[in-house]
Amino acid sequence: MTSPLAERMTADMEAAMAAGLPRRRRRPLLWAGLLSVAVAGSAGAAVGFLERGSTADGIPYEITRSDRDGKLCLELRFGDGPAAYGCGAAPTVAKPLGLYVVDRRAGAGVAYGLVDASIERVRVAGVETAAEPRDGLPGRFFVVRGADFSDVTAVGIQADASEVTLAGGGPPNPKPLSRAEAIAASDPAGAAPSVDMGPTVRYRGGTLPAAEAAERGLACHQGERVTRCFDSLAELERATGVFTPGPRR
Amino acid sequence: MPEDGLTPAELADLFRARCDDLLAWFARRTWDREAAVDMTAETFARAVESRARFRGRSHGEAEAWLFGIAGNVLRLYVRKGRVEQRALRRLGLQPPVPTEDDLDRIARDAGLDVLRATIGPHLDALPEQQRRALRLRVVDELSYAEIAERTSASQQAVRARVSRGLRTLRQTMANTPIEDLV
Repeated sequence: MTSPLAERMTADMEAAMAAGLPRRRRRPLLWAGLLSVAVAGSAGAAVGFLERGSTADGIPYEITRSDRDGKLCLELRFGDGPAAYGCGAAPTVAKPLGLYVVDRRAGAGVAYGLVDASIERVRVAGVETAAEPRDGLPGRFFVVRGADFSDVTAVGIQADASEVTLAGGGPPNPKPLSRAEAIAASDPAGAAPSVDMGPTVRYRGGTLPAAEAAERGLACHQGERVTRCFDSLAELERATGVFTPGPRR
Repeated sequence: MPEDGLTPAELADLFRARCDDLLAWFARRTWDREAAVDMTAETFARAVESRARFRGRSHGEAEAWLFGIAGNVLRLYVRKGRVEQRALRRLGLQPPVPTEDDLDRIARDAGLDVLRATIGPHLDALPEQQRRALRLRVVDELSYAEIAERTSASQQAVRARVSRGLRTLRQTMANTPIEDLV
């Protein structure tokens, strides 16, 4: 009898074959030249497929590069669900963890990001994976799957097997006030993905451009179809019944 | 089965039929169940890429072709001390994350418990570094990270020593029942 793992591995390959094989690059030098021009012309609007796979519970996902406003961003989409993304800086020797996003699903989440070239492997929530260079991305790209990510401490492993804490590992902080504080305390909120609100949101009985809602610092709740914004978290909670942990304002 | 190439459906049937065998095959040769999963996935990815070049006519030939690819993946692992994942990357895939149940089944299918019980008395035939790495990994069941720390070697070097030690044992113990296990 075929094992569940064999079924999952076969399904991954069937999905890859259905998606079609990547084309061979016959003239790499010419293409590299054209690509340089294209990237320079697009001014940080790089978009590109990076990886597809499935979570430990068999949900297919795909990760692409999807820069926004000149920022380096990676986007994750589960099955046919909405895309979530995270933006951040390129990794450097001084800050070996660049972009870091943790998308939590019960027992089968996905954590991904970029680390400096000195990091060969990354361990998150006890699950270790290789960090590998990808065309067009700074540093090395990693994906960790199959953990619940209640603790998002990330450890980098270098070529000599020495380990360095990349994120988290600090003392617990019950009320982090920023993403930096949250991630320092291993709080998943620090590496939580963002979700597109769409071009407009609902506000005070009308609509408002999403960019303006962000600029005004409104408290927004994304439902299945529309995003509703309010002047404060308290107002949002009263209107939606959704409790939002974190500092009041 | 057509003479030239395998269709996606034929290849999927082949994967489904031989995946568990491949997982056990790699695990017996590396004593590393996670690496066995990674290498099986890389083998499949290479088969997907080269399926149009298959020239066999029978299922037996298709299976031999698949295990030939697996042999190449294993040789690269032994030489480099890590699992090559180029074909997976070209397809934009990652190896699956095995659950504890998955790993238990691989160990059972590979007969790793039998191997552990049988291997001890034969370790003296190995070079010092391989003997120590193999004893720590197979008999004492330490992780590669722990062995690397104890032996002041990189994890890649430890993986290579374990793999080479198992291969040497296969050759030196050719007339014992363990031949089918290593």
